[in-house]
Amino acid sequence: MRISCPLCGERPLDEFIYRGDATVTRPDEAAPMEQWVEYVYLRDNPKGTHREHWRHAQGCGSWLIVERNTVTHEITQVSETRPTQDAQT
Amino acid sequence: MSRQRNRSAGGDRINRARPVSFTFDGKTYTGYEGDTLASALLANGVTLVARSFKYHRPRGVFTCDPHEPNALVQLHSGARQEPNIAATMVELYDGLEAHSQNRWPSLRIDLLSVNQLFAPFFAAGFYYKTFKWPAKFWTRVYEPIIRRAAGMGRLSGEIDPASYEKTFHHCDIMVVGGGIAGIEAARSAAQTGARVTLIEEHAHLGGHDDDGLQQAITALQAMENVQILTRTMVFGWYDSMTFGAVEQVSDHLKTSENYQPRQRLWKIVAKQIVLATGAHERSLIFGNNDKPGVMLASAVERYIRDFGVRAGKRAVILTTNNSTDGLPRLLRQAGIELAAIVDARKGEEIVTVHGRTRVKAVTLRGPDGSTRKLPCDLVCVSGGWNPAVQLLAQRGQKPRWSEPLQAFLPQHMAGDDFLCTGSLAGLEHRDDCRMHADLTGQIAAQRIAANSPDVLTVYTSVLKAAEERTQNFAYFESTSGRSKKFVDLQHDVTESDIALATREGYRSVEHVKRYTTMGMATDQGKTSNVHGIAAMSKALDKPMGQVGTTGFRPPYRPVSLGVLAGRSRGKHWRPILRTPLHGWVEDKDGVFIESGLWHRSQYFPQPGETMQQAINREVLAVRNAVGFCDVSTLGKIDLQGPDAAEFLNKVYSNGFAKLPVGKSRYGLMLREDGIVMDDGTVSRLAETHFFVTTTSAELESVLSHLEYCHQVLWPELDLVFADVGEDWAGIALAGPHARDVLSRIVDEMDTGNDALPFLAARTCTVLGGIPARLFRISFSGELAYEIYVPSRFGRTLAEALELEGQEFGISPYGVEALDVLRIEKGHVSSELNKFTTANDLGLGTMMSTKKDYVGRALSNRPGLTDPNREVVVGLKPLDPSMGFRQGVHVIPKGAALAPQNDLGYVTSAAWSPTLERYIGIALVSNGRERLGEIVEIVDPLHKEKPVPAEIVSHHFYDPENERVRS
Repeated sequence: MRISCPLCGERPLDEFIYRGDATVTRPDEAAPMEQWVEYVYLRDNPKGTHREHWRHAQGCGSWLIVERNTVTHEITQVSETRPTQDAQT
Repeated sequence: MSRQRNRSAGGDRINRARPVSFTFDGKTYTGYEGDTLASALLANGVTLVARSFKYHRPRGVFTCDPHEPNALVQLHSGARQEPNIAATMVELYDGLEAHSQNRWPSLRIDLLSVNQLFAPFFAAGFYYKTFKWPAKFWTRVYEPIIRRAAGMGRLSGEIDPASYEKTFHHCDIMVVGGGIAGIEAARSAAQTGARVTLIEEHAHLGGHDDDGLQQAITALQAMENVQILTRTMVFGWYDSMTFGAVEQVSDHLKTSENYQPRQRLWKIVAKQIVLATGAHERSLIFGNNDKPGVMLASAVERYIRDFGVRAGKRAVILTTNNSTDGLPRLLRQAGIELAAIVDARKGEEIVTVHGRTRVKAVTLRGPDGSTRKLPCDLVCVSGGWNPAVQLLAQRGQKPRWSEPLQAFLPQHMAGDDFLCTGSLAGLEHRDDCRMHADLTGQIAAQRIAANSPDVLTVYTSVLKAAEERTQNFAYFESTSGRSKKFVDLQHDVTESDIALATREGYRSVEHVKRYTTMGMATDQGKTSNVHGIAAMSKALDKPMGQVGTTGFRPPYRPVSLGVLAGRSRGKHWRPILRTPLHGWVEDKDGVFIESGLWHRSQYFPQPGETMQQAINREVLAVRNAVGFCDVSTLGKIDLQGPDAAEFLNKVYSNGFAKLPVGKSRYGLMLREDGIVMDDGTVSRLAETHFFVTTTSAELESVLSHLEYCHQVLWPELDLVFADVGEDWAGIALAGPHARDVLSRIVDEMDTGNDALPFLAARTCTVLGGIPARLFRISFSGELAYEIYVPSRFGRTLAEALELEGQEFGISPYGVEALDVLRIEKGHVSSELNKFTTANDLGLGTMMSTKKDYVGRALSNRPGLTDPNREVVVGLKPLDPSMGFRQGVHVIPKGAALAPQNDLGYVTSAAWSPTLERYIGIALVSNGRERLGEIVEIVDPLHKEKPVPAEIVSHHFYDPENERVRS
């Protein structure tokens, strides 16, 4: 599998580390415990498109949002989490 | 040396001018260059080649294919010894040494064939039903016996002496399969100049019948944009059009060139793939259909044509289709008498095969039910052809059953990046294959050139028309009778096993496969699957298409672990990290220890010293004089920017927003779930400039975490940071005379206690101008400094410290002494084990209540604030000379040694030369309420006597911190 890093171009999977769902948001400091538990532990397991965080650990180190199909493994979109001026795409 | 009594005329592949000598089970035979081990054995009349897996039935060569299920042999001896090799793929060379396997004491007299007497007990699923009772017999009786009897060949147990390589390859079009269709598709695809790679697993191109293909092959070899890889097997189709293949580079040679690898792993990226993998002939089900002498019809044919070998003297052909039409003439040419043609289409069948170690006769039955017995020694079976869909199915495609073809075909013949052609696509005639392959190659080339949607009308209609025209005869019936009818030869799975599985309620083909082990051997069911599915279809009264096939996963055929490892073995399997002081440590005869990827100095023995003596001396040197230790392995991160302080405040549990310039502070970093991730130091060099250290092992995870916090959680914060680990060498200088030595090396700086107090942080220069960063922090509990210089000066600093410290009795110390010192002091280190919270570690006061930080919310959950949690305490054995290991457990004094009495475990243990006793740190349930209590430290694994110990504070040495502040 290859991921097209916006800064580095198409690179093999072994350069990246997977983290998980990119759509969860860190709750507010004062939010109730249930929300925090959900943020840290609970995840959907969709069959299909999944927006997720990967880090280009053996490349530029960027955290990326990757849109990937969990069934076909097809990657439809890759974007930076924190936009820089260095992106090629 | 025996004559090759089964050699006939002809044999396109062999060179009769070059005889070759080889051994099988210690006996010497002759073959020819170009033979395979299988063809040479047959030529020499060797029909008994193996014993089957479960029942140890006599077996012979069955196919002329790579996925041979019977003739599995062991090659070579010594370290090169390798089991389970298909004799059909072994290219013969002079001096080849082969042995049969899975038999004792010999192939001819295999005592383990006694298993056959217990056959009723070895039916499908017997593992689940037997060996359960009595329970304690499992480890002591059943398992050892099963282990010894299990498996086929034997490994040498020695290190593989061969070398392996890996290579990457990119091409436009990859064609898998070098038969008629593959050659044609490759040639046609290459016309436009596209880069084409043709891959073939045999040594030669041409496939089953290379009649008239020589011209096409030569033309292909001449094309510059075509690369042909032979002896190469594509074993896997992975995401992003990536493929894995293994090339046999020198395995088939008697001696390889220097540095020539045995095998090469190809990682191939192709834009388009053309699959021309062909079809595999299948057998038929009848009594004793596994006897030596029962062979696939196409195999008998190839042995005659390619190798000039007669597989027998008197043959019976059993067929369901016209692929055997040419066989009678070939048999006659080879001098094999044709005893009968048994045509299933006419209602004829073989009931059973007779003979013990080889075919002696067959019993036939005519359509009217009459039977007759016919002497013969060779049965040529053709039950039809199975398109080789496995590679395509690896991508999740479930093959579809074709009634007209009576075979499984690819569900989709073409997709955006692949095209099927040839007999894989259901084409059975040479001209159809050639024409369709030519068209396929053109389409593939167009896709490369134009990148616009193509028109597949003709491509698809040819395949559809061919399928509709076909009317293959399927014969999945089996005869009655008590002799075993094998479905899967390699795993000894019979038809009755499958029937049993369905009777026991297994409905899914995936379950029946695993319950019976059908299709789970090295041939992955290439000769057996369809018959197994047919047996299920009959038993469940479900059409073939509904029963379906099991899923296919890489590898297509077995791949050696060696080729997957490539050069990553021995010292090369992972990198070695050396500190800037590595050479200096070597020169001092320091001993190294591996810590992750790092080689760290462990201790510095003086002549005649044991390790323990060295450690004790180093510890006392630090406590009483001064010592220095290489701490370059610590993670170091340089952090700068207007929002740097605010950022640090969010990632550490204790406060950093107000850290004064010129000060260091111990920092505790939590995970979002409240568990401690790492501890380290943060030093403020300027208003917007920080220097952060992490423990050696946690640098990567901390860096990743900081990047996540910066890029994802708080992208609005203005700061930058970088891993500067390699840029700085770090040395800890510790002991009552540390200040004296420091003053000698630092340039123009007041090192007095007021000018440079505990936790001071300074940038300065040392040794006449070397830039340095100086931090007065202490891990040992003595007056101490950490000095960082650019890594190229690391050695210079070490040598200077040693020189200047000589009069004070300075001694280098390694990580062993480092650990003893911090245990004496009560600094937690191994206690940060990804299970402990700040509270557990006794660092609850480091959790600020005034700000949000990572891990704050979940730190407060009930499970992490439970008062019964195991918390850090010290252990003081009542007898100071009684020691114990890290990792052992603690129970109440006098309690029974049982899990319910477990109070916790030892996280650090050491002999303290300072206190002249053994000490330890442990995580003990309710530990802080137990101070003063006597417990027992137990080590049943090493059969040690329980050590009575008092629970005490873990700050054994200088609990008032007088020494660090002096």
